[in-house]
Amino acid sequence: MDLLEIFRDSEDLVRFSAGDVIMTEGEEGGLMYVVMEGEVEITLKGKVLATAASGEIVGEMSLINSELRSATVTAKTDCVLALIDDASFKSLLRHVPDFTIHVIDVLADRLQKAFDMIEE
Amino acid sequence: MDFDRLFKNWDDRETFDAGATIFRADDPAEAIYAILSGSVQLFIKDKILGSEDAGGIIGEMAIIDSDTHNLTAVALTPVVVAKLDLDQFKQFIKTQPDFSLHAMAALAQRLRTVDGFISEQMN
Repeated sequence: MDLLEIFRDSEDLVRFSAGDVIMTEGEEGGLMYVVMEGEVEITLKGKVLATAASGEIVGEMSLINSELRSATVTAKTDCVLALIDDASFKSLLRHVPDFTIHVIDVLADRLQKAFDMIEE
Repeated sequence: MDFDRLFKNWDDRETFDAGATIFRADDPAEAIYAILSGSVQLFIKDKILGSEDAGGIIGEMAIIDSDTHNLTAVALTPVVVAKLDLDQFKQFIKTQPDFSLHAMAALAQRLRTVDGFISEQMN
């Protein structure tokens, strides 16, 4: 699913510089992002779980379960992110089944990476 | 979520006795299991990760095509599951919005549990 296309005209764009902390594990969530440009790094207790490049999502966990942030996300390069708030997220889930499938794929993929980390 | 109603006419079911292994870590993940009744314990490397009851989803690694299970699932009580292959699962997600939200939340919850396990291992 091409999220870059869907959010191309988004007016809710946020810029971060390399090294900026975008979200912190354990904090309140409420927003997720689509990486439009650049790369971000997802870490847990300082260990890199995954990187997300343009077209990929971060921060979805806290919107799904309305819980605290499950991981820390840092800008790996200068980057531009499109913001998705709770209402937009729910609306996408309701009206765009491919978006839901995409989120489920992302979660399954992150789960696989987490299991791989346990194996190491 | 009411799986009884959702899977009322679902033919591909499997029944397990208490104590039976539903799948083992490293088995090919060929199906996603929706628990219709009973209770299932999940193990990761011989440690208990948690349990799932009726309305729970296990075997979620089948969502990533041609992968293997990372967990071992054992029936704690007699268990009945509905089995879905990847195509059936995706079809369900497209046609049953409630199921898709439920599956997404279940997956996110599992990810949190596994991340929690990793954090504990690191400490």
